[in-house]
Amino acid sequence: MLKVRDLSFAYKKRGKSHQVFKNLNVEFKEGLNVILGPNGAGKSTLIKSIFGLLKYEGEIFYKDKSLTTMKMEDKIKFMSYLPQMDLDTSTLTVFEMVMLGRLPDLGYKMSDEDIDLVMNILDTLNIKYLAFRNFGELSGGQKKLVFIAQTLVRTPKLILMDEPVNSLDLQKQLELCQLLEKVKEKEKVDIILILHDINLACRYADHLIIIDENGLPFSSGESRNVITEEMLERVYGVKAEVNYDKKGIPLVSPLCSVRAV
Amino acid sequence: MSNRDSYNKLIKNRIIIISIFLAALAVLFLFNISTGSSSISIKEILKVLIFNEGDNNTPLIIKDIRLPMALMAIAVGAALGIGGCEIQTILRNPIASPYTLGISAAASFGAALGLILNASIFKVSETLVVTVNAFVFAFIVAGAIYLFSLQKQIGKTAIILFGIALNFLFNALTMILQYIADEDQLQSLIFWNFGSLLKTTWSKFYIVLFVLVVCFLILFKNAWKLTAMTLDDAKAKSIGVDTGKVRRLAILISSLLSAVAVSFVGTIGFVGLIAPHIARQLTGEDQRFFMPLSGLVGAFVLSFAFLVSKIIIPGVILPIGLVTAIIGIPFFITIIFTKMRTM
Repeated sequence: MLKVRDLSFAYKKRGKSHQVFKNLNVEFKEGLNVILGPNGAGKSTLIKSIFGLLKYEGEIFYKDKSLTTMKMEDKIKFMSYLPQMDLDTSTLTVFEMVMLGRLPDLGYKMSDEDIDLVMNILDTLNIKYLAFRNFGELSGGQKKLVFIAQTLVRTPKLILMDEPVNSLDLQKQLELCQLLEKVKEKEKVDIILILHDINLACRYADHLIIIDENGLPFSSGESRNVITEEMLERVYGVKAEVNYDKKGIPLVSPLCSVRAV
Repeated sequence: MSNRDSYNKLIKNRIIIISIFLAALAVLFLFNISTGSSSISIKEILKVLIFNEGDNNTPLIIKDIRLPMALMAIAVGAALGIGGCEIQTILRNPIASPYTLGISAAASFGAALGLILNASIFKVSETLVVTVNAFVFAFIVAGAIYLFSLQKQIGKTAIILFGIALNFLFNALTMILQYIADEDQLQSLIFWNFGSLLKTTWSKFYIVLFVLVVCFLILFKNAWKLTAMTLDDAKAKSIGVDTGKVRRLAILISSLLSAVAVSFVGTIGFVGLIAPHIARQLTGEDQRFFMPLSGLVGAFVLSFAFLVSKIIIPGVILPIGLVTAIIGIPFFITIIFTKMRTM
């Protein structure tokens, strides 16, 4: 579905440069992809490169079209990206915040269809009761859900989300994953997520991509082939036990770090 | 159905708020024409304005003196309100304004340079020297603040402190000009530094009005993109907003608005700070309403200050800049106390 070819990227700051990727080659499959890896592996950098927020070397293809040369205004017609960030102050209402997701199509007056679309997505995420509250007054988890609504309201064909379940409680984490699964099946949307919770990733991902701390792809594929005790030790530096549930989905129980503390 | 209703109700409320301010502004406008060294009744004013008839000098006083001044108060107030609104939006800083960031001081210096030395950076006709100089300096300072704000480690408070430093710098430079000026120049410079509407002419009003309308239309066309600027940069980019481009546009327009205001009526502080603050409380940051309401509240505040400046000491018209400063300072302190805690 999405191919990353020879991606190289380095952050430059005050003359020093930090190489994140050198000639990275990764392939994402149709359905729900999850990128896993330790802190600093470059997961966010990879997803920003795909959306086109960074200037990188190499080329990225989505269904054989080059995203590298595509204009941003064309990209946002089918892509939706949820960055990892927090934002505390805004006096916009939740409704307006979500509506901004449709920015390229907005006129001076809202059409009834636009209003319905926003309300329906708020309803699906169970936050319709917040619609006319000020965004600034919400809790961290509620804010996160508002941004998720803003990402989904665009009816994208490709969704990129950077740690979408952070600051959500257990129920809402599962609900978000179930919702993404539903969107994927009903509307044939492709999804690329960054998650830290390996067990959550195993349960919902069709395809896992593991990147190690040097920005190199370690392995990729279905969870039962990728999530192994050896991988957890070499990539994450932890001793862990991997068991399998009735459906054969791996279940990771971390034990301890491999290095002395 | 109820979904649409609750949204439409929200919009309706905002339109009502805007209408209330429009009506209040109309009332103030009439009072401003009515008060002055001689008082003119509202009935007489309406007679002159609508039917174009009146006794003795009254039509002349109204049309050549009072009307342009009352209109100028509205136009300049709106320019300052809208300029402040956009500066606050792109810097995401509720205590930013052309005045607190030194943009007005820079424009004052540029204008003073034009007044005293009759020197201009560009060759232009003499009537425009003051305005063009004011704009060039306003734009340089606004640009410097923009570049400063791009540094990642810079917090909101640091931006304000940077603006205060610029404020001191340009005040000192203006004082140097005052020092070398001859007596006549000095008097006109000081008078103008206070901020005053008394030297308003129709042609000055038309220039301000023209700039105001053009800026308003450009901003309104970009209302959604400016609304998106309340988001984090990464988020704004993710919904397709070129944040750099929108920032540069808003900086350019805010400097232009501050510059025309400063060059025709002198330094008027705090309107650009207060107006957006009130507007934000009333309608939130949806720029379709926030920007026009900031302009309206600015026009309202300046018209009100103008009225106060005429009645506070009977027979004397105080410089309006002094009045807005005195009204504005308690307000400014209140904002610092309530907002700085969260900054």
